[in-house]
Formats: sequence, structure tokens, C-alpha cells
Amino acid sequence: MSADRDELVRALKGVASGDTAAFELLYSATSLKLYGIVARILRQRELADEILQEVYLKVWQRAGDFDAEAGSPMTWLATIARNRALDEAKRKTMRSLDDSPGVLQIPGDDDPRTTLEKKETALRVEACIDRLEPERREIVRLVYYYGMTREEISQRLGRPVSTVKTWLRRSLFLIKDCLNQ
Amino acid sequence: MTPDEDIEGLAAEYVLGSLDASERSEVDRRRRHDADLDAAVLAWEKRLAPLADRLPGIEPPPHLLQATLDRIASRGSNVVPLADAQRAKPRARLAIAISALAACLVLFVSWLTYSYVAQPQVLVANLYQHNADAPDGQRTIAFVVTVDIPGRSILVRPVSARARQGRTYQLWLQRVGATAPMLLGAVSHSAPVVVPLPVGSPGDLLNAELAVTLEQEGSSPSGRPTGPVIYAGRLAPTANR
Repeated sequence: MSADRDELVRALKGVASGDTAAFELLYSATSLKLYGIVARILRQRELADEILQEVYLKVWQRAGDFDAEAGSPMTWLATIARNRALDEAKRKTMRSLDDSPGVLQIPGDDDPRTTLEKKETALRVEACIDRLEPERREIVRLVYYYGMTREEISQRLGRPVSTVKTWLRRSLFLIKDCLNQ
Repeated sequence: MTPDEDIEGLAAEYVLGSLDASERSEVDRRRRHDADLDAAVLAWEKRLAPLADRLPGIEPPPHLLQATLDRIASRGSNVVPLADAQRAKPRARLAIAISALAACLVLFVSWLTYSYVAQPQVLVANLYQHNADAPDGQRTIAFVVTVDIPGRSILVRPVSARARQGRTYQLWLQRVGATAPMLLGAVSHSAPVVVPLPVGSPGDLLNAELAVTLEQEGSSPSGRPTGPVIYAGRLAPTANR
């Protein structure tokens, strides 16, 4: 379902006042994206199903906290989904390294709901990541999209955890500097 | 490292997702009374959010919406039942009716998509030594292939494939009912590789056969396999593995 920013803002206001029809609209407009985020981090369908429900329960309870002046509704929702999925993924020990992807397909940008402005912003971040050395570029994406920990990356690359931490922080500071240029 | 750098690095890693459970909890706790850390986290969330915007979506199972509504209702929170909402003012009633119709349409389209694609949308194949006598459970996996249909990508992870001097491995897809295999690309015995998923009906991928052939260095010039099939396996939903 195509929904622009204003529609999502209106839906969130409706949800904040306890309107289930607004909630259904919000769910229909955003669940594809949020499930994609959650399922990639958790990598288990049943767990992703459970966590997506918890995400929307949280949205139901906290919709009144959303501040349209402070940011976009989709970013707000995606942040809730990512944080909930990451918290769950870090708590679970069941994820084996074999479940982890080795390299990442850069997501396509053919989603008609993605505005030109959003595409350009995303391309800027991608361009900044692409400036990193290949190995560091890969771990930044693996962590962001799949929630891998420093320990998992350390095992995967055969490097000490302290090295991975240093690489990650340096990479993130470089991305920040690049975006500020 | 200065305190500012420490806060900035901690916030950056928190948002990126690399902290472990205890570190995440610590950041969550500190944010409540450390305004600098909270501000740094919010700034990093804004900075990296465009990456999530580009992530292809995955259709959730259709029953999840109703399951979520049931959980909301069971908590006895201030849910406005649709019947009550429909007693609202006429203009609001019209808006709700349009909204409900749109939601039904979306659910119907989602159901059609769901039925057509035959979830799950991630398929996996373990590739074993071709023509080996032992049953699957007793054979060594050479490659694990994961097909991400919404992401249009195929991840090929080597597990125990052997290096072959002067030769390369190439991955082929034989869809169900297809007359010839399709070349997906070269794969490595030592490093994971991602190749794009070719255009075609996702339904044809279930039970499709994947094969790895041994080709001369470079590629198979004819577009058809010229070397022997070394490893093979069939795509199945992840739940069936």
C-alpha cells in the first residue's frame, strides 16, 4: 500500500487516540518494511512473527510519543522495529554463525514508495560506506542489516574482537565525517 | 579516547547494532539520565536510517494483523472497537469506511501475493557431492545456498568444497520444467559469494535443482555447462530443512 508521510502521520495520530481502523491502515502501509527489517535480523520466521507483533503493540502504546517535527514516521517505526529485533537477537544464543550471511546484496531502490529525496539520502550513506576498505565496508553492512555482534564478526574474519571494535568505530567516524562534508 | 569520543562511539555502535546484550542494556539505562549519550544516539539513528529505507520489504504472514489486534484487545487498553467508531460523525464515518475498504483491498492483494509466491520467501539448498551413495544426512555439505526472493539475491556459502587448481566452480539453476540450466555465476570454495537472482516466477524456484560444475578458468563460454557436476541439491523452504 502506498502511503506518504502525511498519511502515516495522520494514522499515528489516530492510533494514539485508540483508533483501530487507523492502526490497521498503519499496519498495512508499514508492515512489509518492518517485517523485512525484523526478519533479516532474527532469521527465524516464527521469532520474527512474534517480534513484529510486539513492535506493533509498542507502536499502539507509544504512538502519542511520535513527534512529527522531529523526524519521519517511517524512521520512527523502523527504529522501534530494529531496536526490538536487535535486543531479541542479542539475547538469543541460538543463532549460529552458519546462519549468518557472508556478504550482503545491496538492497535495490526500486520500491515505488521510496521518494526521490529518500533515495538520494540513502545513496549518500551508501557512497560513504563504499569509501571504506572492502572488509570494513562489509562488516558495517553485516551489522546494520543482520545485527551481527563484534564476536560473530571476529570469528568470521579471524580477527581479535578488539580489532573489530576499533575497525567499527573508525569506520563509523569516517562515515560521519563523509556525511558532514 | 576522550569521553566525547567514547560517547560518540558507543552511540554509533548501539545504533549500528554491534553491541552485545549487556552493552545495549547499559546504553538503554544510561540514556535515561545522560543527555549527551541520548542526543548522540538520536543523531546516529537519523544518520543511518536511510539504509533501512533501501532494505527490500518482506511480506509478513497474513494472520499477524489479526493476531496483533487480538493482543491489543486482550490487554484491555483503550481500543476503540470498529462498531463504536462507525457511530462517529458522518464525515469521520465516511473516512473510516474508505480506510476499512482500503485495508481490505490491501489484505486481499497481500493474500493474492502470498498465495502466488508460496511463502516462505527464503529458500535454502544444501549442496552435496553429486552421485555420492550416502543419504543426505550422512553426507558432507559442500555449499549452502540461500535464495532471498524479496532481496533478489542468492548467497552461496562454501562449507567444505575443495580447491581445484586451474579450474573454477560455476553455479547453475535448473528450474522445474525448464529444458536447460541457467548460469547463475562463479562461486568460490573459500569465500561467500552473492549472485543476483534471475528474473522469473518465484514459484518455479521451489524444488528447483542447483548444481555446481567444474569449469575451465574463466567461465563456461557456451552458456551451457561443459564440465562435470560436482555438487548438487534442491531448493526447499527454510522451515523444511
